Amino acid sequence: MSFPNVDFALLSPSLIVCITALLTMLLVPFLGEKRQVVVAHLSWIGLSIALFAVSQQIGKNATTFGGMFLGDDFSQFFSGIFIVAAMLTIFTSIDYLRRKENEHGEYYPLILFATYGMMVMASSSNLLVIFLGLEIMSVSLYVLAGFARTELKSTEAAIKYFLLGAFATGFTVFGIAFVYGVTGTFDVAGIINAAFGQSNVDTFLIIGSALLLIGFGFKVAAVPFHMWAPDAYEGAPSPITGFMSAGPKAAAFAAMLRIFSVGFGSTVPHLQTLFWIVAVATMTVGNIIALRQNNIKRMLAFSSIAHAGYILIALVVGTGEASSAAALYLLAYALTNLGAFMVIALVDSGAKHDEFTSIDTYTGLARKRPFLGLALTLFMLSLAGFPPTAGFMGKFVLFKAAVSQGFYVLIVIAVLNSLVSVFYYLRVVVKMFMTEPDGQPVEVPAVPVFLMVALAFAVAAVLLIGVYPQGWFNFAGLSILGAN
Amino acid sequence: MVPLEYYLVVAGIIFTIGMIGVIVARNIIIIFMSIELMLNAANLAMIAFSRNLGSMGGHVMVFMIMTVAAAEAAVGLSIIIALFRNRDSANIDEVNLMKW
Repeated sequence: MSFPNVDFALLSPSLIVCITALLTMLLVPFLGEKRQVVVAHLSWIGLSIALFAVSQQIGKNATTFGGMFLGDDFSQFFSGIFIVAAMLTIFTSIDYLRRKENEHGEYYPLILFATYGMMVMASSSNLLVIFLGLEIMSVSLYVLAGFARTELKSTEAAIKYFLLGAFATGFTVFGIAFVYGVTGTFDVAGIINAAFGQSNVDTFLIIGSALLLIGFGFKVAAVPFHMWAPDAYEGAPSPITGFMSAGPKAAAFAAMLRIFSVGFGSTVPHLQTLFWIVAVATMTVGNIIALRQNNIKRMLAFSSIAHAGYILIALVVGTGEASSAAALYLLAYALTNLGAFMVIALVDSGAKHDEFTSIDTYTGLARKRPFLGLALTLFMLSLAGFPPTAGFMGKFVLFKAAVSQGFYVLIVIAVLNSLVSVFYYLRVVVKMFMTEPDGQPVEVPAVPVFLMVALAFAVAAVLLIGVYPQGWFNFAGLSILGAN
Repeated sequence: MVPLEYYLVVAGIIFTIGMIGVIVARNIIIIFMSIELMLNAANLAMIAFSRNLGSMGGHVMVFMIMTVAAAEAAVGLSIIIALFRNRDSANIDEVNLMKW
């Protein structure tokens, strides 16, 4: 019995996040009711150290724990997304929780644990480790969704998210059992080696990958497994909704890219056709139902379903270029959505309960608060895919990767879908700029310092990726090479 | 020795019972129990495969799944209690503030 040779430097980003979470969690009961905000500040300080650690690990492309933990650029890229998402969420939450009179310090360690889970998920190609990361992330998020525990909607969101999430876990685990049963290993590379080159693919492997697909379909809210998403997004506290749409989605796609795009795509027949159908159904259903939503959080929930549909294109195409395009898309989408939810959380925090989440609340907002209006407009344009924003670049590189492989029909459908989506995104902009409110416009709180910093960062990042995507795309591309 | 297929058939039946339970049951606790049933079906399949292959990987995974199931139970039951405090009911049909 000897202690395994562990590369702690490689683990440092996720370890720092985990240790910060544990320490802040232990600190919470000692702080007293008035000083819970200390936890928030310690949390973002811990996260910035972790971000620094991530930057130190770029280019190493090493593994540890006997190949179970991968520290390649793919992991570092996604870890960066998760950490930034968590930091922006914390900055948004500080004032939000105070105004909603729900200032409990446990909130921040839970965000950190969820971030840790996502990092584990993106840093392995071993089904066991991916499963553990998935669960660390999900269990924390179930609690966060129901964090406003006296609000009917929040508990309802939590119970729906929890029941369907646990249901999906059942499928994932059963799928892993079958894949393991055929190949005798949990490692994706080993699974491909065992399954590749056999003339007829084992039925159990097909059953297993189908069950895995169902499990991950729930997590990314792909049609027909999307029904939990609108309810969970609408009921959860606004900053958490932003976090849920940015982080876990990116984490689930990172795992899917590892498992399906690099892995099973070539070994299991018809998987590509299946992804084609799911991608088209997801983007179409998401966009069309989003058209008739009046609650802005619910509208963005359907929009996030539609965006999952676009990203699924990368899994249909299955090339390295498409995977790096998907990584860039996820980065752009995460920053844009977090930015949009900063404004939404600020408007929402003007009322005790959830009176300020309807789109009508935004009537005339831009006249009173031009900068907030402009920021939200930028994010809406980015979600709709207008240049020169990050959203446009994400769509552009993704569609280009698909066209170069000859998926014309798919891209025509995707572009038509983007056109439909412009309508509901611009509805918010029209409300803000061109509609007179009947009576007094809604009173929006002043922007607190931390939210100001986060908002400025999100605006700058969305514009920067939109104007200068090359560096980001190269980084994403390099990271995919590491994953292969 | 009992052949592998027998275990898999039992696991499949348990998994299906759990799945139908989630869809049919109206009490949240029953739904939750059905989900646990699905996880245990997966455990049974995992152990059966593990024995068949003569590899220990499946055993390790089963321990992980049991731990995760326990964590999920803790969180899930607390969410159910929070919901019950808010509306005095554990019937899923009454959890209907948000639709479409």
